[in-house]
Amino acid sequence: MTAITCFLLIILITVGITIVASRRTHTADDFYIAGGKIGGVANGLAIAGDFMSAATLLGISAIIFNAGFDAAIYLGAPLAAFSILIFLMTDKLQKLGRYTFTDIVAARLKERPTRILVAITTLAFSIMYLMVQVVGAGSLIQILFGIEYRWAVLLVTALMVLYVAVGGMIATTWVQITKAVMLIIGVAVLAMLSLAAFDFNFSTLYAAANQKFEGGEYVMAPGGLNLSTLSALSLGLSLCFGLAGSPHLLMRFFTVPDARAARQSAGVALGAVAFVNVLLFFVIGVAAIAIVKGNPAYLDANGNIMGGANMVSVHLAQAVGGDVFFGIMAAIAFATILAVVAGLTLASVSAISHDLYAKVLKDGDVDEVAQLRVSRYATVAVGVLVTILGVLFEGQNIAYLVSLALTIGASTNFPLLILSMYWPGLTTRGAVAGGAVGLILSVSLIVLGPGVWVGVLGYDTAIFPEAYPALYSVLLAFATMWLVSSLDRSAQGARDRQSFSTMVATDG
Amino acid sequence: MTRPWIYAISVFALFALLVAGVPLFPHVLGISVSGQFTVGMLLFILLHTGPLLLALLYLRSRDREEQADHSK
Repeated sequence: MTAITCFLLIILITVGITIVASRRTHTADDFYIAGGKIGGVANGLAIAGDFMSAATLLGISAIIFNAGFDAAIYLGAPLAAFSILIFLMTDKLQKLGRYTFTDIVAARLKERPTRILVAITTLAFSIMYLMVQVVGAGSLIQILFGIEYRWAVLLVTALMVLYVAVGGMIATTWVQITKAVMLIIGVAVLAMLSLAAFDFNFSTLYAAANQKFEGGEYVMAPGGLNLSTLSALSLGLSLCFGLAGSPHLLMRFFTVPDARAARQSAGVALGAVAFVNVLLFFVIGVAAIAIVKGNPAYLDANGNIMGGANMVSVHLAQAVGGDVFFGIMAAIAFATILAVVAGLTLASVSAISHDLYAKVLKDGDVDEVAQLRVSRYATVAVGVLVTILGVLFEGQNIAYLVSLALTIGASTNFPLLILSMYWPGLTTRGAVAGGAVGLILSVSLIVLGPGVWVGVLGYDTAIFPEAYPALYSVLLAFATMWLVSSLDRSAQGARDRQSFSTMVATDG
Repeated sequence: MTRPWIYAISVFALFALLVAGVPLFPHVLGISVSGQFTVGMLLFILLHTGPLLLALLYLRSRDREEQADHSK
């Protein structure tokens, strides 16, 4: 009953925010970038809220629960990614972009092919990432209310469509800030209650966890995921470069008024993510092993964790904080998912309505009312597609699925963006060829790999044996961009190289 | 190489060390620094504090540069 009350409260708060935001959303600027008026600290919290998805709270706890120390790869990646963003990208993003990061790539390369390519890569990334969040939300609602998984998925996507179609970026930002603050406080309280269960003694906590841990010699012993060197490097690359190339995170840097606020945003987000990561890694994941593992209260008839390993942090909340705290943490996990799906949907919708419809199809000659109407239709279409995918991918590990989505971002958006910003030699032909290679390779290797070919499609063995394909797709995307651009002797290629100097001059 | 690149590469190198350490030298990451606190855990802490310090330094210096530009 408490959980249901907390859930309803979260839904009421977020819908309330959306209704208020809808009254302030009049122009395309308001819809896509909240009028560019969000403050640095508020935007930093929104970025943290946008980043800390179902994978952070639910998926990472599950990885620590099953594999111990190796979850550090998943937790360390955002720190490296945010550093790349702060030190190398925020200034340029803020000064050169308007609604989507495609604006920056299109500013120095031929607009039409670049926008088509980046819109496709953005859609591929966002829809895959959205599907992951919906899988997490479906499991969460299923376990709490006992309603069928597919109806749970439908509820989440319906709310997601409502937030974005009605409230745009203003609603999305405030939902993300609310969620980030709730998540930070919730995780801190969960860590404190978990430590209190062991009299605030780390040695007792770790001794209890080591006794029950089955993923290796002891919880903090590396090797629980059994990663080969290639797999580990591939996973690290996909997580780090994928996050730095995530369209929903990049888009947030256009919502602030200047470069200083953009840098401040990234710094605040970095601090918030580091705080949550440390508590998850050292306390919550370990306490989940010590308290939830083997506890009959959290096992189903087959002896497995109820709702799967993704639910261990929520079970831990019940064990250390009782029903009220369980309800609060479940509601926070739900709010976490809602905020991320809203950001991702907005990124997909912007790719469709701004990049494809307004800039490519209408050649920039489109009125704002028509553009906003297309945005709202696109939101509904994305919602339908994500519902179908969410049902198909039921029961998959969230953090693993996120790594696959990030592989697409790492193989397409990241090389395009970083080379557009820093390499004078990049040409339109090189960008399009490299982006296409990155996209085709990453999607095909994901489908042919064990995660989808065996896990979803049910075949016995995977055609591509590696679980994490980013090492191949990222390197080949970079190599293709370099090779094709270097061999490009066209007039357009010369113009592209020349426009880099203009862009650097604009950047100051 | 400019300062932002040095900062970004330093953090990335720390992350790469952690990633490569898991399959290549797990026994090194498992060495105890103090009681149950291992080298791997220390690396994790460094990866979560180093970028914050570097970001703070960078943000302050960029603010100073921009203020100097405005006052010219």
